[in-house]
Amino acid sequence: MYNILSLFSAAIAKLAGNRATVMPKKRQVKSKDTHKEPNFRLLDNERLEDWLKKHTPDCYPRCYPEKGEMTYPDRYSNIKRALLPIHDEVEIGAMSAGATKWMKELIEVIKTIENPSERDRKLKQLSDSDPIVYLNNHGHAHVDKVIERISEILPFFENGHLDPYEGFLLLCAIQIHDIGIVFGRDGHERRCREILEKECKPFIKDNLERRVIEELALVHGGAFNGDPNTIGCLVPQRALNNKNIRNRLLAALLRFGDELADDSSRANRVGLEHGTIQEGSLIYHHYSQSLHTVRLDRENITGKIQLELYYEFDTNIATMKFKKNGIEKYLLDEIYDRTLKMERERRYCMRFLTPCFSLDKIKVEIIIQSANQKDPFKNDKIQYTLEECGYPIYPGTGRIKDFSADLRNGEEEMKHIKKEWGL
Amino acid sequence: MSHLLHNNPFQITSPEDLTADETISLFVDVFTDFKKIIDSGHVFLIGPRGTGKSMMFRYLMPDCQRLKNKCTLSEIPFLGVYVPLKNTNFALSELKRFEHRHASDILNEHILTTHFSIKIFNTLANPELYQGNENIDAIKKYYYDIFRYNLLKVKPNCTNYELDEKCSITDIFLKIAAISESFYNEALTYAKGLAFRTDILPYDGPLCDYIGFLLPVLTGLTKLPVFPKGSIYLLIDDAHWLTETQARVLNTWVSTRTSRIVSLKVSTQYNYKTYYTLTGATIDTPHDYSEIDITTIYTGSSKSKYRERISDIVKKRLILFGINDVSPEDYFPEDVQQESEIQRIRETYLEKYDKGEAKGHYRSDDALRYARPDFIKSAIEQENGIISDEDQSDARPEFIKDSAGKKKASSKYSYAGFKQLVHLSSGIVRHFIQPAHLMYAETKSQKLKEETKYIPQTIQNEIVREEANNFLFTDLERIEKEGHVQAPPKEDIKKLSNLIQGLGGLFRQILLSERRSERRIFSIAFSDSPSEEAIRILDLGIQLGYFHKSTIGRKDSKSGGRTRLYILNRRLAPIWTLDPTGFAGYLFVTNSLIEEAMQRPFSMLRRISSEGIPQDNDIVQLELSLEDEK
Repeated sequence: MYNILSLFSAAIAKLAGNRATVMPKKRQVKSKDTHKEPNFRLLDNERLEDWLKKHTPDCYPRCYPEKGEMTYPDRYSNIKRALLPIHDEVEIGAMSAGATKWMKELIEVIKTIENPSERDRKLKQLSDSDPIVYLNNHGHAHVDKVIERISEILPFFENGHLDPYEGFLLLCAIQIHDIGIVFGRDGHERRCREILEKECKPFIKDNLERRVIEELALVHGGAFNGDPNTIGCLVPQRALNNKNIRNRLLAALLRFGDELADDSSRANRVGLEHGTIQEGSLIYHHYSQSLHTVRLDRENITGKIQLELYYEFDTNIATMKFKKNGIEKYLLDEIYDRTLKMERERRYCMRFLTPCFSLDKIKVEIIIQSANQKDPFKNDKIQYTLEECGYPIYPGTGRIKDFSADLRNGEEEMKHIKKEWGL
Repeated sequence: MSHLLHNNPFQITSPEDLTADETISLFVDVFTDFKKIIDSGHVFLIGPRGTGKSMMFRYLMPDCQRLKNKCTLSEIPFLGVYVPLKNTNFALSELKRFEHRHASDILNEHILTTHFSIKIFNTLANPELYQGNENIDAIKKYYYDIFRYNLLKVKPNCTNYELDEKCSITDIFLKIAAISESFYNEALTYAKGLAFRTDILPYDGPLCDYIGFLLPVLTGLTKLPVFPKGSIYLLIDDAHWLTETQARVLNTWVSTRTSRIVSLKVSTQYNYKTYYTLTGATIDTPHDYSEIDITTIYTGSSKSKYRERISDIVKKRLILFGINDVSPEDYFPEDVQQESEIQRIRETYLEKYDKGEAKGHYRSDDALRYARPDFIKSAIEQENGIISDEDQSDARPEFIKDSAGKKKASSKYSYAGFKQLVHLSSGIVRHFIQPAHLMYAETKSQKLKEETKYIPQTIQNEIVREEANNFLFTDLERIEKEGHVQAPPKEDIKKLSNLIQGLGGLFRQILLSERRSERRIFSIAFSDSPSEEAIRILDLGIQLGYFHKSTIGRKDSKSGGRTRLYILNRRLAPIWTLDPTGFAGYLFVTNSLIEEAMQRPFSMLRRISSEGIPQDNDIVQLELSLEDEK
């Protein structure tokens, strides 16, 4: 019954113009709840921001409204309001930063390279690089989508439900996670501190609290001291304002929620329709546009939770080759790459989300629809499931150095002992 | 005569107070034994007090390296900066209040980072390091482009960070140190402000960390022409003073594996709090760092190297003091009569071997193994040191007490002689220097107008006996009374004292026993599983320097399994008139015996005395080493 309903909903969504739709979820009856704080469970279809407001002040760290201190939900509302103008400027800021950087590089080439042929070669290389990327939405709509995705994940928690104060910190981190892009895309994760300091300080006076929020936000991507295992660099949990905060769990929620938020709501439909998006950025918008449904569901038989991704686009788009980072690729290949990346993110984030939440697989369905008006029902369907199965290949026998190049193998250790001990 | 050693050639001075000249003149190069310290890479240098860790670090500082290599600052192989952790405010009770309350890891990292920054830049502010002000422009650029840039990330909108136009290199580094100190103080003031409050106050001060602040600031330094091309070595001394959270912070820095730019050389005693990082991972050797245990090196296969080191130290100090042409052996002469008597016994054993009556495999085996114990035994028997019940009620062991007003029992054996003194110092340089200092002072007081060309054997013997007693009784009593935050519980100190006295008495009984294949026992290993309490007390003994540890093959194992070996510090040997010159054997003990020793050492000794001491099959002989008797 449920599957029929789902298909029906998907059809409705298609008729409504491929708008991003999150299916209403129905969970099977769960095993007996073992979580400690049943009152904190997020309900189905409940939004995290609404959930934050419904808790009494004693669920948060102590504050004194009679001394003019804001309650935590009010602090969050104010932060959201304060950041709104910056969120509106994120994509423009990124383009402007990209353009400025590009201009600087051009000037540098013109100024420093005297050999004409070498200079022409370098200039062509720069012009081909298409550095001014018009990003898909990274502003408040994206922030809302991340919150929506996380709000969908949280009701699936088996135990260890978020504490309201954790919810506050997570929401603040969501608000600022991409805001550093306003300074440009490079290393944007690390630029949020400037805005946090400037815009959020009136509402979060404690620098230690701000630092925790910043940490949660900046591990949503990139690398930390060259290590892409950014969440692993966080303290697993720590006390903050006399409450225990699960940093890694919150960071993993933000990171995976962000990964799931790349759907059609993020595409600039007007720009696509009117052809105003430059070549190098088209693929990002088409990718978002094609992902019309993202859904979490529990399998009927096994009871395991799976993520379902539904893509659809027509042959006009499917046959086009898009520029990306100096190469040309089909949208289908971009979807393959992005779903594989999503599977990596799933495996990575689940390290930090279990045992509260366990997502076991990603099911992908891609429909390439005929663009021919005479044959509108002709389509090609591609389906695959991404999950861990089979006997693991890694770690491979005899490859101890994959773990640490510093570990000596038998031969090396014997040489080392002989040298050190004078044997 | 050196100003440093004007009163006594064995003056002990804190390395921190030594000038570069004094350090160079006193330091004996040990880096052939500890190569990893001077190579790039993170290192934990572990050892008890007095093993020369701080002196090594002092020698690696840039002023000493310049002097030693006779070159400019930029030409030395690395930039070593000494960062002492003793006598800091790190263990403040106010800071402890943050634990499990409010982001103590972040605040502690800030405090450590700023403390390091203060020490680093105060070191670099030393004008003697530089040849004038010739690199001032590069250092000003560093200040604005690197330091202030990173500073603004930590504390935006800060003002008053401009440099004076006519400033010197020293002024710039002093300014950086002062800014770091103000940041450090802000955090400490905040922590102190939380005293007597239950709620948490917001912290509005800066927050510095290693990756985001200190590392880029130090990376910038390595690119300055005035500094060496190699990496920066942070010589972190006495890391056992860190709290657990701070140790986790330091371990997290070690785990970031940034040794190409910054190598962390960490010295600690055995009670370093943890090897976990803030993220819950452990740091591992050799993946993250190299570990050097000084006492393992100097009590293990490199015993002869240790004797050479001590010999070099003595020679250097004597020459600096103006005593030339005297070897350490001549300066600390042995008891000639005693040694000739031992030699006579040795020859008897050699004759027995020639007649086919010896136990040993080689001709010299029995001579090495039994000559000195036989002499000690005869010396004790002559003095007839009988244990009286009255004496046993006292905490002090019976053996060292005056018996009915007579001369001390077993004091006839003399511990004089450079080689014996080296053995007694048990791999710890200070345990040689400190008694030597007292011996010189005592000799000087007896020969006020005479030049002290050697230390009489009687004075040597008296001082080492006194030092052994002080080590076991006075030092332990002091630790028991200290009551500082990191002091071990009193009950554990009492159990440790009991255990040492029980084992010392047992080793003495074995030494005096007949027909044992090995009577020189100074170590124990467990024949069964030790209890948690036994391990805790033995570990405390290791931490305080009363035991060394190693491993040995399991008694019951045919498959090569190993068990821990605990070696009593040889410095204690005079208390029971044990032979300090060799640890030829070790005793397998049960956990119940150790438990009994910890609770009732004297009744245990009485019981063993009446029931009989452990059989030969509980005693394991180690391979004889000629070094033992050299």
